[in-house]
Amino acid sequence: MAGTIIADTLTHSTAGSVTTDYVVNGSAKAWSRYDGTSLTSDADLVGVGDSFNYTSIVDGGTGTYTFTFINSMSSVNWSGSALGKHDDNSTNDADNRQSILMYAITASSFITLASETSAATLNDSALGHNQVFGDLA
Amino acid sequence: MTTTPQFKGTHLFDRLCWAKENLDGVQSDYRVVYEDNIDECSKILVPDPNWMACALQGGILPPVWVYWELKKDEAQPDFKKHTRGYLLHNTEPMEAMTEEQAIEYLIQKDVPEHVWMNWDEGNRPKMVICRKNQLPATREWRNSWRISEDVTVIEEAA
Repeated sequence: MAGTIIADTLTHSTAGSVTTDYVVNGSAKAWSRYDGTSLTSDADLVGVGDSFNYTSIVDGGTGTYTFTFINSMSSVNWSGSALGKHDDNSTNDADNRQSILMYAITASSFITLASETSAATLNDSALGHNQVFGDLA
Repeated sequence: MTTTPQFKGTHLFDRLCWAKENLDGVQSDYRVVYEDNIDECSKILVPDPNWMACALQGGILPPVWVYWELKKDEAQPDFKKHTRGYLLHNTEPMEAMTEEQAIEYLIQKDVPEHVWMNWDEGNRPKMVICRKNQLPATREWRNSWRISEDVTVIEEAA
């Protein structure tokens, strides 16, 4: 097929070899960079800055977002990470750093809850990121 | 305009990789506001711009019934792993949609079925499609947002 290289191993001239399984299995299967404060605001049309393999983001209330895959994962046993900032223009203050919990994980979607690291209160992410790794359906 | 390759039988993830490289994201003005729990605030569905680009382009996304089938599998109590993922990859992809058709598809995929099947039953609508500028201008009291009882619903055939 045009544009296709079929190979099981990539070999560097000096640094050794890696099987292409590492590339296929180790690549992110979904990712997103979003502004949770402008998903609904008319002031800024860019709620989702950029992304891959999501159909939608649902704004479920303050600091709560649901991400749904286009190409589902094969099971619930995938791994993901997420982080965010409450105020994109702020400095590295404790009330600006967010911990983001990924929960309600299924093969087709997940929910994130964003809160300040200094308090358990949910708050919006002015800049949120997430990445998903694992096997696709 | 970029022509979509013949993708039937091509892994959906590979199609998305092609789309990411060849299509610009489309930021939709549409939002879907819905309530799936009377104890919770309204939820607002925001179409992903790269997904919308795929929907408008055509030849990339599987039909929505494929997702319904996979949802049925996931709802089984003994679900461990998808065994019918081939439906995503081998089913004839959807032709190009209008933005309105894409929103309808998205509702049927990502909004709970009990909401969109009965959206206008009860004292007030459980779901409305609106433009972004029809939402509150700030997120103040976001957790108290509800669909207005006075909302005027205009039904239009797709």
